[in-house]
Amino acid sequence: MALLKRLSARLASEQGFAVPTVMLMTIAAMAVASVGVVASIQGQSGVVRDQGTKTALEVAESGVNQALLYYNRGVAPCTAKEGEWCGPVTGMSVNGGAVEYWSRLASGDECEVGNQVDCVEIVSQGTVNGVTRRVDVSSSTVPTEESPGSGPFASAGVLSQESMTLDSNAVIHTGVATNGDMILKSNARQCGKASVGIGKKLTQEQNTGYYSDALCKSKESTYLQQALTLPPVNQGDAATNNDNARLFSQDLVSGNKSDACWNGFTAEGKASKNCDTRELVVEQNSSVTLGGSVYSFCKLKLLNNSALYVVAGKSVTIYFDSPEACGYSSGVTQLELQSNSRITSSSGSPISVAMLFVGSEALSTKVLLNSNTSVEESCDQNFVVYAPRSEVELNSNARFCGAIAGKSVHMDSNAVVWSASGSESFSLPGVELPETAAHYTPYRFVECSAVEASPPDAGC
Amino acid sequence: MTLVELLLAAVLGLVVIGGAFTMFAGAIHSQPRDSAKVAALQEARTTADRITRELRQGWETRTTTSSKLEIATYVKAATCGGAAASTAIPCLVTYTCSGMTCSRVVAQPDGSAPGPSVQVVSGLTNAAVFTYTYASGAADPTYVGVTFVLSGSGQPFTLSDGVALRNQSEEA
Repeated sequence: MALLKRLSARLASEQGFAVPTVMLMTIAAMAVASVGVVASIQGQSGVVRDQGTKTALEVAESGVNQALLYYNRGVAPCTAKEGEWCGPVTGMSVNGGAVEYWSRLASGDECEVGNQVDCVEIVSQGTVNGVTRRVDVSSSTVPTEESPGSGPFASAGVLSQESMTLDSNAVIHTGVATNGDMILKSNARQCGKASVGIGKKLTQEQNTGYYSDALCKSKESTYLQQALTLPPVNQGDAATNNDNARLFSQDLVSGNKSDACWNGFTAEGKASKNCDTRELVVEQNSSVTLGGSVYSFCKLKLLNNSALYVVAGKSVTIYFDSPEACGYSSGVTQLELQSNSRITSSSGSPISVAMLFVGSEALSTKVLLNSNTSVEESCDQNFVVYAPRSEVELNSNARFCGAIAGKSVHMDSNAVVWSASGSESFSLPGVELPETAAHYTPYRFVECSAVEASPPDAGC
Repeated sequence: MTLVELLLAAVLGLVVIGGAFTMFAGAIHSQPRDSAKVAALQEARTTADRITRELRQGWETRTTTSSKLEIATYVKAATCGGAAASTAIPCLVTYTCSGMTCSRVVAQPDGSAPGPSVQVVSGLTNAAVFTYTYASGAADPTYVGVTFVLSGSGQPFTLSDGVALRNQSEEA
C-alpha cells in the first residue's frame, strides 16, 4: 500500500520531468545530425577509396621499377626458365604498402615487338590499406629513336670513369656521363644532360648552372644514376705496324725545322734532347702535317703557337702506348698542348682524329690542354680523346671540340668543350665491348584485375 | 507550479521542438537532392576512373580539344567496341562532351568500325573537360587532366583527376 502511494506521488510530482524531456530533445538532435554525418561518411568513403586506389597503383608500379632495375643491372630478381614465370618476389615497401612481383623472360616473336629483341614481362601487385592493384608491364631491348648506339660516346660527349669536376667558368656543351660524382664550382656550367654513377651525385656550388640543352637555355635539375664502364684501349700491333716512318719524310714540317723533334731527332736530322723514342714535340710557330692513318706515340707535345695539321679528308688514329712500354714513371703527361697550340685540319675540310691512350693500371698518366689551346676551333670535325686510364685536364681557355673520355676529367679557368657531330658514332677499334646487361625499356603498360590470378598475367 | 510558469514552459518547449522539427524537415527535404548529388558524383567518379585508366594505358592522343579526347589505348574487350573480356587489346577510345553529357565510343586503333556511343557522365555544367600538358618541345601531350564540374541544385561541385601516358614512347 505504501509502495503504491509513493509511486502515485512520484508520478503526480513535477520532479523527474526534465530528464526525459532533455533525453528526447537530445535524441531528436542526434537524429538530425546523423543524417548529415551519414552523408558525409558516404562521400568520404569514395575519397578514401580513390586515394587507396591511386596509392596501391603507385606501389604496384614501384614493384615494376624494382624488378626492371634488377634486369637492367644484369641480375634477375628470381630465376626461371625462359618463358616461365618466377616469383612472387617481395619488393621493397613503398608508402607503407606491400609489393610483390612476378617476371618472365622471352625473346623473338613472343615479345611482339620484333624478332631481334629480348623482353621481360613483369606483373606487380601493390596493396595499401586493404586496396590491391596489379599492373602488367612489358619491356624490351628493342631500340628506340632515343636509345643510344653502341659506341662509348653514343649518349654523352664527355665521359669519366671516376670523377668529373668543372671549375672557374668552365663549360661543357654536350651530355656527360661519369661513374663517379660530378662537381660544378665557381660559375661552371654543364649544358647537356648528365649522368653520374649509381649512388653518386651532381653537386652544384657557387653560381653554377646545369642545363638540359647544349646552348645552356633550359635549366635542368634532374640527372641519371647509372653505371659507366670505359673499356681499355686495345692497340693491337699499332706499336710496330704504323705510319710513324712518315714523320719528317712524308709528314713534313712547316716553319723552323729545328723546332720539331721526333724520335730524338729534329726535322733537320740533328740529334735532340727535346724528344725521346716515339715522342713528337713541336714548338715556336712550327707545324707538322700528318698524312698517314695510324701512328703510335709515347708522347705528343705542342708548345708556343705550334700546330699539328691533318691532311684534309684523312682519318687518323694516334695510339699512345702504355707508360711501361715507353719507359715512363708515374705521372707522365702523354699529350700536352700549351700556349696557343692546336690540332686541326690543314684545309678546314672534314677530318677524323682519334687519340687513344693505352694507359696503365699501375702508373698514372695525364692529358693536358692548357693556355688558349684548341682542338678544332671550327667544331665541325670529329675529334676523340679516349683515355680511360688517364687524368684529363683542360685549363686556361682551352677549347676542345669533340668527345673526351678519361679516368677523371677536370676543367678549369674558362675551358670549353663542344660536341662534334659524328663523335657519337665513334667505335673503339680493336675493342670488343664487354658483355653488358641488356637495357629494357617499357613498351606496354596495362592495369590488371585487382584479384591475384594464375598465371600472374591473367586478367591483364 | 503557477499558471505563469506552466505557460512559460510550454512556450519554451514549443520553441525547442519547433526548431528541432524545422531542422529535421530540412534534412528530409534535402535528402533527395543530396542523393542525386551523390549519384552524380559516383557516376563522374567511375567515369574519371575509367578515363584515367585508359589514359594511363594509352600510347597516343589524337584529337585533343577541351571537349573531345581521342586516345589509342588498351581496352579489356574481346573486340574493340565489343563485349568485355579479361585481356586488354589495343583500341581507339573517343570521349566527346557536349552540353551536359559525355559519351564514349570504342573503335579499332585506326578509327574504323566504331562501336555504339555510350553516355558515361551527365549533369555537367561545362563541356570543357580535358586539359593537356606538354613536355618541353613535345608535340603530343604527356599529361591529360580531366575535370568534371557537376551541377547540383545548390552550388556546382568539381571532380578533378589527371594522369601521364605510360605507353607514350611506343609507336602507334
